[in-house]
Amino acid sequence: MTDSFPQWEILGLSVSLPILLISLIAVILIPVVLSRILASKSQDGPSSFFLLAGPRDSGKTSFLLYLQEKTLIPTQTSTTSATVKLPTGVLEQIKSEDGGSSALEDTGSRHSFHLKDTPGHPKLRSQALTAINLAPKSCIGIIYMLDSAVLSSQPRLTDTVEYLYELLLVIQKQFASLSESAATSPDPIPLLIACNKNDLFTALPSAKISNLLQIELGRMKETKRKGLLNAGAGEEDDEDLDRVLGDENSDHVTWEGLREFGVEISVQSGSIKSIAAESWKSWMSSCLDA
Amino acid sequence: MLDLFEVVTTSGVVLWSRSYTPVKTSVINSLISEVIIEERTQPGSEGKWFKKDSHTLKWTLATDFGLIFVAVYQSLLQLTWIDELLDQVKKLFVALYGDKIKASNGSKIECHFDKYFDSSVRSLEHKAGSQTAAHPSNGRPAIDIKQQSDHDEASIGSGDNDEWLAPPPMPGVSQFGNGRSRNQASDTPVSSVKQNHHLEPTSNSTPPPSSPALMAQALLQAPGRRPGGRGRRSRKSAGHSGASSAHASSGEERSPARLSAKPKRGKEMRIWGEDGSAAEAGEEQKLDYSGTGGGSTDEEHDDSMRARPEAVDQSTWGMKTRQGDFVLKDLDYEINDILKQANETDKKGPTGLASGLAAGAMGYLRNFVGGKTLTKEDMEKAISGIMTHLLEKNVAREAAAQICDSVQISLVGQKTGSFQSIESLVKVAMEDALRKILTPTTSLDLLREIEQVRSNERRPYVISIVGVNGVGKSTNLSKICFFLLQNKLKVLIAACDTFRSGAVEQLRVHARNLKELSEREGGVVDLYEKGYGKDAANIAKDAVAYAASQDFDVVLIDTAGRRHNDQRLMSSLEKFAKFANPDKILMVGEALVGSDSVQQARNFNAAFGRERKLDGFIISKCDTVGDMVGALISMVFATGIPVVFLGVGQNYTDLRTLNVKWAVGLLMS
Repeated sequence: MTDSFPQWEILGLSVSLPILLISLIAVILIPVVLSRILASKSQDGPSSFFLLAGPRDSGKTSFLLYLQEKTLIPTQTSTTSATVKLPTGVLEQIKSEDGGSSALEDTGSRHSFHLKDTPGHPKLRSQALTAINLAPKSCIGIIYMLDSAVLSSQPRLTDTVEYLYELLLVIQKQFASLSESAATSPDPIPLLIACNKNDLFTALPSAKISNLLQIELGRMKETKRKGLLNAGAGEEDDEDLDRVLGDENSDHVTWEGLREFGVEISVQSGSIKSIAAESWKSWMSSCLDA
Repeated sequence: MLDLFEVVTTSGVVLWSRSYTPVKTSVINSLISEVIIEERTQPGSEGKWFKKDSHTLKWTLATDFGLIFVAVYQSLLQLTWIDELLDQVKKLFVALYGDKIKASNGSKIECHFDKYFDSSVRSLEHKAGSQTAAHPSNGRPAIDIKQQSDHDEASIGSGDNDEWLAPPPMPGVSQFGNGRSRNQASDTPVSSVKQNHHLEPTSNSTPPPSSPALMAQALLQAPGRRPGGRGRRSRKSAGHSGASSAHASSGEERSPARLSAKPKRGKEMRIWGEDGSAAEAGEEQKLDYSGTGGGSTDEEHDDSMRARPEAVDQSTWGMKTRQGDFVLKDLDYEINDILKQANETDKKGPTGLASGLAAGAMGYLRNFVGGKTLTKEDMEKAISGIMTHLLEKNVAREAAAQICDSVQISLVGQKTGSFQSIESLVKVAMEDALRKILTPTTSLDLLREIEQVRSNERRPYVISIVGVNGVGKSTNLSKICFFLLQNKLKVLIAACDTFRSGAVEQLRVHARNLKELSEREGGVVDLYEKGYGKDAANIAKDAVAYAASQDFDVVLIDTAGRRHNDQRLMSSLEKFAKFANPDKILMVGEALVGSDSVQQARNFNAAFGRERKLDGFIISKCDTVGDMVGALISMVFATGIPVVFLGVGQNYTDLRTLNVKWAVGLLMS
């Protein structure tokens, strides 16, 4: 008994130095590492999402709510973006209608996706653009919703096309930086131009809209090239030097031409009000499958 | 009455709405776009109300829950209780559904709010009704108004009336034998008001007649005892209530509220007058005197007075029982409880010492670790810091203060991220706010617009340039001209500064230079001049006609510089805008200008008449201020009109479009 005490002491002392150091390091490091992990977790958005963009009053929030609730819910102008998690069953429900709700829940538990609704007010459009800039890889598809009934008026058309132009430019930039870093060129982002409200009398057909948008984008590209420099241009090199959309040598913009600049565009009509959004849903599920 | 009440999330979902008459959705949409997003307040509203198509809208925000509460009613009506309703509904809604809303992440949730809302509306309407119409033969409007104003100040559930109403000396209260019947007659209206206070449907019980409020009434009514006293007191109290109701009621209602208080007094005096006395306010004692006279007619009168208010109360009581007594009673109690709780949490703040210390320690820790829920007080320091920063960047004080306020309001209730300080959060929010201010809402592609006008309407595109003296109107006009010439357009410069000597010659030199420079490019430029002393508006009109006949693409009109507070010179702008009818009116503002920028922008924006506004700013001399580009923010903030061009040097090529990111970067550096 009496002998064992010094042994214990020696044992304690001999072990103490390295253990002390290790434990000290652990004490210092663990909180830092933990906080880092927690912080990064909180900042990360959903791993894969659809982005819902487009000018205001085009029906973005209605579409989101329609997918979520399957009914029409009145909306007002959004001022913030909202991300909603939806089961993939939402998209397939109508297809396999007789499958019933059990099938829906099955797929819902296995797969889900996020849909990010962004405000369309001109002052808040940066929210959609930063969403792409922040997470270009996790954006599996972009739905650009527009009101097909107002495109015959020039100011609304300009507004619609200008937003689309900005959006395409951001995608193009992200694509360029992604393909620079990666060895193989990444797949283009699918973009659906959803021509909403085609139940209205003044609505244009999707083929006409597609044509109109390409012409307008071409014109916009032309004037942007001729226009004045930005105030910040020249100070910061690459980022603020606005690139032109698509091919630099021509003033024409075509959907096929844009494919090599990282975006695959399809144009489809529909109407949320008359519950005719099947083509959009199938587009979304094809994006999810890819 | 109310047309529409809606609860909307910031993500655009209508959570709950109650529509009494159909209202276009565009009404609320324009409120959200113009007021909440663009922060443009309508003149005179001070951000308290918004008018659109004969509707008046009032709203309140619950920023921490991302909710907007909007009430829509006909502008013709003066509903004084809307503010109270909004406040009450907000508290109820947040208390009932706050957690759900936070969890739902901005999507639709189920709300069964109808009964709560109806009950709130009914009680407020009833209160407003009892205030304005319930007692026609009641001679004491001042007290009712006073109670109402107490209400406004202390909202629901406060019992401050006594303090307000009880006059310190009470001589001869017990001697009001004959005035007593009248007091009893008036018991019921007073008690009904009181019950609204507590939202309790127990209107059958009468409060003890010896309550201080009643004694005060009795004192005010003292017949002949204090001849001058009464008038003075009531006048005083009326003044009081007028002031306090002006405090509590808001913006537009301010003057109507006061007005409605005063005419009502007058009206009720007139009713007294029907009893045989003059309608003068000073002669109230006479009426009371007739009361003390104690004839049979007076007793009849008293009886009628007693009967009427009771009847009103009973009817409301009956209505309630018809709809289900117990349910309503429970509901009203529930509402009352929720509101009381909300009020208590509102009032809470620095409370007990021990808990205060603990909370303080936690708060201190959270300052570093994050996860702190921000209150207005927390941000005070960071906000004032960023305000000084903005002022140092030459932002006008008025604009800086308002921007800081809106940032502060938008942050209340938000949580700081982990290891995020309040300062950094405020900074991020400020960057967002500045970006939002500077981002234009319309397309600023000048070339595109010119092309459209030329191809669709076959007329020249007219741009006119206005501004204060010496800011660089002619210089910037020449820069724009050079830019247009490079795009092979045919430009006519109209010299409409017929006032300052040398102005026309200056433009002539510019035109000659530009001609030489652009000869090879293919652009054509010409000068339209008519010498000095003539009317600028007429010259502009002639120039546009001349350009149309000669097939010019663009007409650039130079105008005389004018001080923005000189009415005589500014008034000629309206005629000018009408005659020349420019597609774009651009105002040149110096980047050097300080706090005057806000007023300059506003005055010029208002100078073109009702229909016409400015279309854009050219901020000149940006190269001279370095990073102090605050004038940009001040001018855009004051008017909501975008910056089209920046002048950044002395050469024709030194014209730039605004890069919002660049500007925000400079302002926040």
